Amino acid sequence: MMESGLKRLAATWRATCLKMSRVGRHGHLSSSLGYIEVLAFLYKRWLKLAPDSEGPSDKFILSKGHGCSALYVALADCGFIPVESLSQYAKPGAQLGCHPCKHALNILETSSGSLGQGLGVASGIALAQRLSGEQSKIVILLGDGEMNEGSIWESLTFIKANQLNNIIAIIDYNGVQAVGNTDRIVGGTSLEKKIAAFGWHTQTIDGNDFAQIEDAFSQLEGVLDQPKAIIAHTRLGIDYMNVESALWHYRIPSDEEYDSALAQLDAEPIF
Amino acid sequence: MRRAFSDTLVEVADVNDKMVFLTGDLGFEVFTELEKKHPTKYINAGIAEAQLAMCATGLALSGFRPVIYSIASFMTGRAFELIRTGINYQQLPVLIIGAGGGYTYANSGVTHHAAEDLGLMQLMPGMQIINPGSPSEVRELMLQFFEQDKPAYMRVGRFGEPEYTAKDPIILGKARLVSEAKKQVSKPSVALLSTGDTVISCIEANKLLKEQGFDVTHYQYHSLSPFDVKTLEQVLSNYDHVIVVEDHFPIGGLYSQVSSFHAGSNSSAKLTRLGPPHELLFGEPSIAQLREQFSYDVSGIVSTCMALQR
Repeated sequence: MMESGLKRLAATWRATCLKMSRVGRHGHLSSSLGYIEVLAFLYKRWLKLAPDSEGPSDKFILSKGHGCSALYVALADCGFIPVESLSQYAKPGAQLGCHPCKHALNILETSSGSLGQGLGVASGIALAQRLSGEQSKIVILLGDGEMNEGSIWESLTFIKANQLNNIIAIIDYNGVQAVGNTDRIVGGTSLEKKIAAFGWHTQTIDGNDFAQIEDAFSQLEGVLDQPKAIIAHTRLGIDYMNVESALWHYRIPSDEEYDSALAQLDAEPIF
Repeated sequence: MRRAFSDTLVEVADVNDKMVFLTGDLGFEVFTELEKKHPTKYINAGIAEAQLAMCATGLALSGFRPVIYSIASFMTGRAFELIRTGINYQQLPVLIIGAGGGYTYANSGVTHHAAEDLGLMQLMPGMQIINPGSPSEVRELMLQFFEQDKPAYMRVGRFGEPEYTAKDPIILGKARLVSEAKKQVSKPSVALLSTGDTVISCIEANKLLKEQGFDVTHYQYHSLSPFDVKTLEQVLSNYDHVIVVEDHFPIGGLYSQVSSFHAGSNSSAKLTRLGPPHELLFGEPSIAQLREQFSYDVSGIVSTCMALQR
């Protein structure tokens, strides 16, 4: 029952991202579409989005900043920014830039857009919480391509060594980078095994399947003595467009593609 | 200066519970007191300069006042983009420390030379650049850093640099008049501008020059950003010759600041620069050899000034 509601929501958020790409004339669509189910689960079911008597609100950091249209949709749909602001996405001077900027949108935990930094920033936030005697969940969404960056591996080590166990990294494993296939570029090794070897609790799931997402996050609640990583295998979310997926790192849908995608999604944008 | 730095860290930690110190696995027995007195505020993040910068970003976003510390070449060069994107883009109040800037580690080879550290950091708009020349300047400028909320890069030299007295107090962003020549005594009139530890060589040189009847004015620029343009304007209009003495490449340090301002002014003052060239320096020379070779030691400063008299 919960699933069918979230599935409808995911379709609506996808339709909204498609429209944003067209009105803002900006690509990086596939980077947003793949992790919509994870984002919908986090924002609608799992994260504590406001502080209460038991502590601060949970933190969400989009480390792969280029995939931000989905985050903006989540923020609008949850009432943190006006829905109308989505129509200004990626336009000159807009609050919702094509890479998230904290100067323009202060509710962000951090600016992002340069890869490999969200996990390190999260380590600082977690350390600050420890020093302040408080704790929340800190969730970081990373791209699989982003895992190429060496800085990520400095952060994985630091977080484990300092037992910042309230950190949860989600890797959006869509298999495609800007101009190549992730497994071909850094292939021959298992991301899950590598992260596990750094002392992290790891799980691999189908990131477009709500049942698996829910199950993974409920399992995390029992893991108290390790930082946690979920490798979420995702599809770019544009299967219904019948195009080579790698193109969609940069492309903007045409009129026909847009109409066809909306029809197959059976959903309308929220603005 | 290194001792003044660690002492001031303890002093700040005693009163400011938001200060956190992260080292990139450096400072053997330098931070023992901080670690002992404030164990949660001392973190050895390992040899991971990128992680230092990113972690400081997260701490500062959460209201803390991190200080990150490594050898100048690694802190500025290795972590440049993390500093640029995390700390400077977001204008977070992080104090970035480069230990042994310039050619402090000359005899450790090119890997440890940091003659571009000030330039790298200065290229970022909004980054304050502090290059102290004495233990007191380290302390005072650190304390002033914690009174405001913008990022800064500070070079910290070695142990045992002497104190000196100056006519002006130590104020972030202001040049310090160290000594002023008696008017009309020497022709041509000369002003020495030092930055960082070249202040000490300039003071020594000035003493020797005075003994030979040549009286020069000396200012110390411990801050390159904000840059004290007002004082420079006066110097350029009041002196025939202005000599910049720096331990940095000619690009991006004090000479860059002075010469670019001079180019846009009506000043007829002649500029001279004493310092290392924009070259790779192989062969692991000592810092003393380097300073002698490129005339930014005491005798080089003296002979440069005396040559002007002829």
